[in-house]
Amino acid sequence: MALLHALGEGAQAEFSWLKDALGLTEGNLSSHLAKLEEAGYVRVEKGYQGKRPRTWVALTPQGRAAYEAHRRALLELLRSEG
Amino acid sequence: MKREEARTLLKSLDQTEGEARLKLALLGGWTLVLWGALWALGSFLLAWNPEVGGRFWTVAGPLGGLLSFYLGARQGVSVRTFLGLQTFYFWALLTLFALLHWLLLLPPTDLRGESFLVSLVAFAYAYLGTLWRIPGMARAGLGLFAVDLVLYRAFPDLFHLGMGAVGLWALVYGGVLLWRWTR
Repeated sequence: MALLHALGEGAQAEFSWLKDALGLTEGNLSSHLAKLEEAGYVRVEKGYQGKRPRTWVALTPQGRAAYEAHRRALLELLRSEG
Repeated sequence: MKREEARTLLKSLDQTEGEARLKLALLGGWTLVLWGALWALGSFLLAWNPEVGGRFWTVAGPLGGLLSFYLGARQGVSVRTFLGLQTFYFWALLTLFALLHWLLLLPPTDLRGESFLVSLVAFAYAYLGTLWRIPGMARAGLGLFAVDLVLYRAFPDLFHLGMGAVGLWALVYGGVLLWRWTR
């Protein structure tokens, strides 16, 4: 989610690019994405680019908000105890 | 959650985000390798023999530009981002402005013209560092501008050798990034 968040709002990343960037296996990434999709945090779209099948992954507004809330919570935790 | 855990997690999130932005902004490290190699070779050739160096840049400049746009377009197939699109348009506009400037105002046939070209590249990296929120890239742009200024004003005889060293640095750093991101 951090990686998708870094790409900016409305960004889409191809499955194989994400796999390489995160250093995960196909199965591992698929299972992570399935859980995130179920929670409504990412949107997975299958399509074609020319004749090649492609899978696109994007952070949903809900996912972006959840990630930012998580980040804020971590920061607050650091500040409150500092 | 303990404070240390929060700090580690936050650091890891920042690292992941920063690394992803750097990877995209540098087209996976390929731009640094490509332009580092061209910059080093072209600058050392200019220091050795300006005529040969000039001929090298006549071919290498447009070729490097085309290759860069190809790499950008290839990345755009895998990652669709507004930032990537903005970066693509920025480089296209900068190239157009540079070309018009060289053709009509200041051909890069002397140190003044070359120094202007370097300052344009320095501005591009400083601007893109700000756009992609990569402080190191913005600092590199400002640093390149400072090197350009110092070499042009104080050590004009060492201008090409200095730029060759900058090119070598970019080549090595780009190689390290490429190795990190492709292994």
